Amino acid sequence: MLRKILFAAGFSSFLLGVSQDEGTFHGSVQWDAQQYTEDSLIGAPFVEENILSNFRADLLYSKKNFYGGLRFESYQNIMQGFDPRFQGNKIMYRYAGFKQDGFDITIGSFYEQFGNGMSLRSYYAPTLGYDTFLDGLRIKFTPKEGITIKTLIGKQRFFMTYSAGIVRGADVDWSLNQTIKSLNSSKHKLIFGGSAVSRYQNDDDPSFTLPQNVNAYSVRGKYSINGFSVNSEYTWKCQDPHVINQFIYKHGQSLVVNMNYSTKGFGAYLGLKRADNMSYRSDRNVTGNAGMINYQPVMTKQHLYSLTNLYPYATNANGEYAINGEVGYKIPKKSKLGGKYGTNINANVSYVYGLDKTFLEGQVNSLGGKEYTASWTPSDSLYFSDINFEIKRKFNKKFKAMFLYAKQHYNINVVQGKVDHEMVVQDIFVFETTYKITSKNALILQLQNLTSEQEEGDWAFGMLEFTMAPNWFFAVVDQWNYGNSSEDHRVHYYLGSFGYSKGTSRLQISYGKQRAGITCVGGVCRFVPASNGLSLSLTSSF
Amino acid sequence: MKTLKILLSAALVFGSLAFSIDEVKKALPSVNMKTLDGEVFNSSNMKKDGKPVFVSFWATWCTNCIKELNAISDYYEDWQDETGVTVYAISIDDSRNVDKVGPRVNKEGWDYEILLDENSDFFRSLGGTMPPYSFILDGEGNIVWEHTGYHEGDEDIVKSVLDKLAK
Repeated sequence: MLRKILFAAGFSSFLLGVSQDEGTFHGSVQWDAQQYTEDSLIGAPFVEENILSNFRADLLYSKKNFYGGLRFESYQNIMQGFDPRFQGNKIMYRYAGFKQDGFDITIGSFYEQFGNGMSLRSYYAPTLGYDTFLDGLRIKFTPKEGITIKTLIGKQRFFMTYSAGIVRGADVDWSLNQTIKSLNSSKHKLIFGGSAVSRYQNDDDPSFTLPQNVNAYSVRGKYSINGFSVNSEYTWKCQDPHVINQFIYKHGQSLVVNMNYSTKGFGAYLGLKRADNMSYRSDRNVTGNAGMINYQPVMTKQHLYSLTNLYPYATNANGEYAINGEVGYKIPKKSKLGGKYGTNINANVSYVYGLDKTFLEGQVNSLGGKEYTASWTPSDSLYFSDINFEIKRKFNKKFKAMFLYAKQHYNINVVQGKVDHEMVVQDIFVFETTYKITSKNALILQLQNLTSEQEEGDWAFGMLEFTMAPNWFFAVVDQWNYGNSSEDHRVHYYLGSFGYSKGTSRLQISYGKQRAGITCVGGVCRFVPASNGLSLSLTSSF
Repeated sequence: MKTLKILLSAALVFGSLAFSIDEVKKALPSVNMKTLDGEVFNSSNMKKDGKPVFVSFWATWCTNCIKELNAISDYYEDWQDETGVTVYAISIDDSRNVDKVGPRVNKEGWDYEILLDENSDFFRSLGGTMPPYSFILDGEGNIVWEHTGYHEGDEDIVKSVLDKLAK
């Protein structure tokens, strides 16, 4: 504790000292708080504290080659839906570093990503309670433009302390065009990269002989020409028995191939992924949203509307086969079909299947973990599918509209670990229109409908928002579970909110009910429990 | 007691900031990003000598970001003629969506300079909290205006700042 105070004091006097000279400060605060009212009908529990609050403040400083920063966090107590192991006040994240002679050396905490993140990604998503920074040392070296070599060693954050393992890694990223003179102006662009990551964790298990050092290796490449690009990464991980794979010794591997082609007014994308046993954590005994060393991208469309997100898919840690394709076109401006401003159409299809596994006879451990082999073709077990179509058009200076249809299949047994539930099949329609009353005032109306035979049945959603640029917005929302098989549960989730923003500050106050569900931002998801009450959110940065 | 000590040290840090914040000039942090082709691009290269630059952090999953960039896109040519502005649209999409950025830009028909900030390093270095987050650089590369969020009509305010800089 004393060390931390000395650090903070030293840091602040350092800031005072250097502030006479030129330097740059940036910082931000984010405060979310909620008052909770018990509501047994929607499953909102009684909260003893009545009010819960999450707060953080970031401070960053840079001057010439030097940079440093810290983050103060305060959970008094942590809000519902986050892991209760986030507790109290603490400065966990603090760092300093400098850049010189092609070296960039960071001591303390840092976020890092190797390649696409499939071997290593330390990531920060505070609204999801997700923070996996590493704490130790990182060195980035750029011997010449276009080549970046990174190496790092650190303990990973685990709530208000550190994870059991030590993470080490190195990565090389090489742009051929930037390093080879004759290729500088070539239309063909080539990037290669590779990384090696290792986790050490002591084996103190009485019944298993566990590998203490678990290594992962990955190679990647990206090729682009004239609007076409292909980006691929293959990752291999050695034996890593852990709680999520039920302590099996099979190695892990994953392959991702992303391709796209686009030209003015047209864009197409195709992504393929096969992942097998690639959960990689800094502590083999950890589950949930903590301790992830790597990232396994979700290969489905990231939806933007409430009812299209009732059942969002999250990558299956033990393995899956996924395909995602998207094609879109802008019918040109001032054409007969496109209208004065053009019309955008977009279609997206994704399917996720399980791996086709063959279990090896007799190789079952005392925890029920079964060794297996998996073929390179998918099984016929559907985990998730989503077919959707979207059209949007600006009719004139005042009026624009958007329409979306989606059909989704969601295997709730696999994704949420339920037993003997039916596959959730849902048809969803979304309509949104914006009417600009004056140059600063606008009305936004959103209507959504979801029909489903399973789980909670049919839903409707309506939202009316009035915005006054640049400062104010007011919104009322009603999400109605009108088709619930139990009449008592045909609940209206009313929510009223308003917000004030100025510059980089934003205050939002809401009152009403929130449905229990999963929210996802930036590829990470967390469960949000049902709640009823008054909530406040304040963000500001400088 | 423990809490008090931490609060005290935090107050100390932020207190020292309050003394110094008015005296410092807001410069642009130097952070590496990538172009759509995967080449390294340093944030300091966004500076355009004598001309203003509008920078917007966005993501393929952020509706308000796309609304903001579409609103500006309708006037971009006029703005370039009148103020000499260059627009950088920096995507903070991660590897789930990063390969959809190029197609998205073309589908919307944007003529902006596009950069990728895949693990939000540059976004974080500016104290960014949520997209859309935008700022304007003057001709010397200093941040002179910042904004979080987007409402219909905000683009008029951006234009008025650019007009002042162009004078």
